[in-house]
Amino acid sequence: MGNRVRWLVTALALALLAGGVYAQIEVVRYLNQETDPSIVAIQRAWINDFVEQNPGIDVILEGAPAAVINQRITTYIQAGAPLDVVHADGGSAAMLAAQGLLEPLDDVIEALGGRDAFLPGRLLIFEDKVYSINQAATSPVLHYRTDLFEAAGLEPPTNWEELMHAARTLTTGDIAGIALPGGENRSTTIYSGLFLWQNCANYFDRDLNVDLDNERTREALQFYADLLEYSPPDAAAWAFTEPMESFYAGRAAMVFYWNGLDLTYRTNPGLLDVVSVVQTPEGRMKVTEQGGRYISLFANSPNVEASKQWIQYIFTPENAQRLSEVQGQLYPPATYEAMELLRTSEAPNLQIYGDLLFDVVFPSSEFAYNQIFDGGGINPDTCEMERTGTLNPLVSVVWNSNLYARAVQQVAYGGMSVDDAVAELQRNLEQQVEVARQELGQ
Amino acid sequence: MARSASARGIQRGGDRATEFRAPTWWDVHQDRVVGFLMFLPLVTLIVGLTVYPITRVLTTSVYQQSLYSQVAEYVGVRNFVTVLQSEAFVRSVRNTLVFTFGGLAIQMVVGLLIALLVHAKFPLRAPVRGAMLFSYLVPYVVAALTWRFMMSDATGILNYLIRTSGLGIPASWFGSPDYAMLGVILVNAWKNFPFMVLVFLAQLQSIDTQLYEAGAVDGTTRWGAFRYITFPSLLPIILVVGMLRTIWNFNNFEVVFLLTQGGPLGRTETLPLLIYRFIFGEFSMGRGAALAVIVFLILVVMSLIYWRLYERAQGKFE
Repeated sequence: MGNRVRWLVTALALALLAGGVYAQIEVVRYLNQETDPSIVAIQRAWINDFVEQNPGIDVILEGAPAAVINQRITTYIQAGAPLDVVHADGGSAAMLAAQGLLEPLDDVIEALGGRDAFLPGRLLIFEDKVYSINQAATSPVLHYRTDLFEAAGLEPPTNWEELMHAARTLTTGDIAGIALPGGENRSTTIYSGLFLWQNCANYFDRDLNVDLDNERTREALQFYADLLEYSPPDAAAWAFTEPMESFYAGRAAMVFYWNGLDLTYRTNPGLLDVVSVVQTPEGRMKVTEQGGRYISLFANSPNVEASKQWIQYIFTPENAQRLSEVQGQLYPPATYEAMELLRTSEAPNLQIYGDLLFDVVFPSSEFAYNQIFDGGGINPDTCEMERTGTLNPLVSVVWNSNLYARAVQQVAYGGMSVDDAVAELQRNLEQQVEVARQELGQ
Repeated sequence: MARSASARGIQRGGDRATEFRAPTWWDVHQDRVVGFLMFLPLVTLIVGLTVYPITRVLTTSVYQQSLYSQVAEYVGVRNFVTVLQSEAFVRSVRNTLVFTFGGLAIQMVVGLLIALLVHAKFPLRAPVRGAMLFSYLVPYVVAALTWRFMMSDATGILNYLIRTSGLGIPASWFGSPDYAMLGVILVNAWKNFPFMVLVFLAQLQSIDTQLYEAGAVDGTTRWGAFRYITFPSLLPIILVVGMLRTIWNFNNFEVVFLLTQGGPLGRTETLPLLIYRFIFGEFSMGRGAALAVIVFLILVVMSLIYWRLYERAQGKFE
């Protein structure tokens, strides 16, 4: 009995000691949307190195796929639970910044060389404070099958007419001219929104009022609906991954995508010889989407300083280069210094691009529109993109409501006239934006 | 006797006074207190896991609250009015009823037929009965994604077979406005029919074989035996599993969400998906909670109807 008590007391003391030691370690929870094993492996390697260099800090990688990460974040918020570093989409990052839920990262930016060290479109700035860093400021490009284009005597499309013509010409019994998402989801909203901007229209005007009930929007929406005719028949249920899967499987002649050749290299290397990429074809104006995966720090984090150290570590030129070497197109470096490092990289994933990465893919950012940073930045009168610097958290409403995608479906598959679909879209989006404004206190 | 002695209280001046004392509160309530303490963990669990969430949903339904904020504003029944007036509500109710009862009918019929088949004696009956359970053992996510892959235009074997067979039907059901609902109903039915098989088989095995022997003496045909013996014996359990499956189908989120996300054109958007849309699409906890309350009330009414039918069936059978 005596021995038992002694063992029990000893075990209890050891447990308390271990708990006490662990309590002194600052734990940074890194909520991340990456599920690609190669990127997860890089992140794990970062964590190992970081923890080794910073003995007082531990980093826990918490994965939540892109489709559910917003749910995870909002669950934390509703539960009143603290969050540390999150890797969210731009709409959510803007919404969180506008709600005052994020911690400014200006000291991290200074440690990384200041704002000027970052490439354009990388920093989410609200009321002159940096709240988030865009880690994946990439733009979709058009992947196309060179063999099919050559056989049909076509050049890669440079404008809407050529795009439609190529899609129509290349559609045969077994091949779809173009693989496009047509589901009622964010993917369709983003891809069809690209054509909206190219037609000099936008979801919001300069005052961030919904501005869709106009001829330009109707044209753009109709064009996308018409293109869907040349997409595979199950496109009505497609989101982000299916178009590229269709392309990999050799069932489509063209596809827009953010990260392509590196994935093709791993998925279907046999296809690489007959695939190339060009920038997105132009409409009335030359513009494309700027995507993003934003690193932010929650203001209620119990470990602010350790979290900042972790963010700074992620964006060191060497680590940014390592990430880009895994998926060059998806993760172009955020700083000039890292971009220069990447130019000399001999990573196999980058070699498959040849010069395309630096000549075609990365330069797309020069005419890429970031609707979150530059709210109302498409001028319908001049057909020019303007850097308004107005943070637009309402983009989140467009993306999550899927109302634009629903309008596309109504026209493409439901037989509704584009006039009615756009009128309904304007009405419903106005209502939801109004509610969001009230909740934002605007 | 001891009780009456004790009730008299402590005897003054007597040596035996200490043997008799007035009952303490603990003496009187001991059994109840111990019983209550043993019951307490269960009560706590029920309150924590059932009563609290239901109460929270009820209270949330009368507030306007964004997902990105913990601040809430009382709005009375406005969320209910907004939900009931929403264009998606009527469509979702209709979709939910089609999905629920379409799936229920298929599961019932297929489950009953297979239960009757595997109830009969034949070689390798045990492994065949085991194999029947396969789809029920597969998680919803795996089942839905497997069917989605099989119907995929890029990689699907079923898609390929339909395409090359010249049947004249869409090869990709989940992307077809006309076939998407049928697709999700069939996948849900495939996933869940073994539950019906299990329950019906258990009930079939409990039917007294003398009833069939007596019927045979009277010259009853196979159909007659089914109609007058088997079916009435199964009726109470049909109503019970019917109620359970109605509730489960009604609340099913995974199958529809993973296969179609409610599309195309909202043709498969059921009430659980509409709740999801209100909360995560429109960021409105209040509207989502209001619709959840409405769904709860619909299910309560349905359950009452089932119970009434069950009692009637039991009465007839007895």
